[in-house]
Amino acid sequence: MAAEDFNPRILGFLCHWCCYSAADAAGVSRYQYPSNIRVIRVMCTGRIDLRFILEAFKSGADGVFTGG
Amino acid sequence: MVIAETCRQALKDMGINPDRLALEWVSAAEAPRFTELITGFVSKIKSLGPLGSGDGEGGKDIVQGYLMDGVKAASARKVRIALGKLAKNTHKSGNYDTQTISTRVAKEVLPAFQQERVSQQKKAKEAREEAYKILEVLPRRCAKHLSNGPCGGSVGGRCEADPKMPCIWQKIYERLISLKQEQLLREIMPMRDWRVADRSRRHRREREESAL
Repeated sequence: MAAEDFNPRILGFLCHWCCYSAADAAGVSRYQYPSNIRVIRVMCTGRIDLRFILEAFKSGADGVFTGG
Repeated sequence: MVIAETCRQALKDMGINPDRLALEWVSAAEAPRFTELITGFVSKIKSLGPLGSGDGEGGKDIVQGYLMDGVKAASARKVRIALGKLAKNTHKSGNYDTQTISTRVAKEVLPAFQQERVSQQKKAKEAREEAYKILEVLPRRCAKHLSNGPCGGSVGGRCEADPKMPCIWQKIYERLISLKQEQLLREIMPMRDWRVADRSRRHRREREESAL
């Protein structure tokens, strides 16, 4: 696969109170950002576990973004 | 942070570029910063390529195999206790220095993870071998000589041809489930060589009687 064609699948763990709201605000104020990220909202970044991240990679994610 | 560092080291241990994991702090009011970070991260992953194809990542299948064992190892009690202890101590000492956390993770958590991962690897290999053995030997006992799964005629786990016998495919299925190797049932078995098959006595006798 050529590098330009590669559309990475990125999983985002976003904290409900911080990053998720920021993502929401970004949407509301119409900032453009890549659509590669699929978001999972967690109630706190502290909820994220080692297993979640490994499981994400196992399920085919090319990258994991955690936002607190 | 302890989790993130552990995860990075665990990924490295499994031959995955730890840069594939990002931990960032964005407040709810910082939409532009969020956009920036996401854009940056996406382009970074783009430059790394799909999982398993980056530098030092040994190919998709190998990485997938490692991850399977890794996920199991991550839920192992030993790893979780080590992680919990370290997190508690870090909180108590109030020292969130990245370097300190990194060395402590390497010393206190990673060995447990590695150990668990290796033992999971071994366990998975043994289970696979046993499953292959089951699939090689047991289907021969099927009354209908089926090698790719049950005929569908069994009732309550009993063979349709002879209700006194259990359905051998039912047994195979149960054993593979208990080994967690049921995905092997999806594999198509090679054709059996019927030229050398030993025909049953009954079969032969029937032939003789029906001969003119």
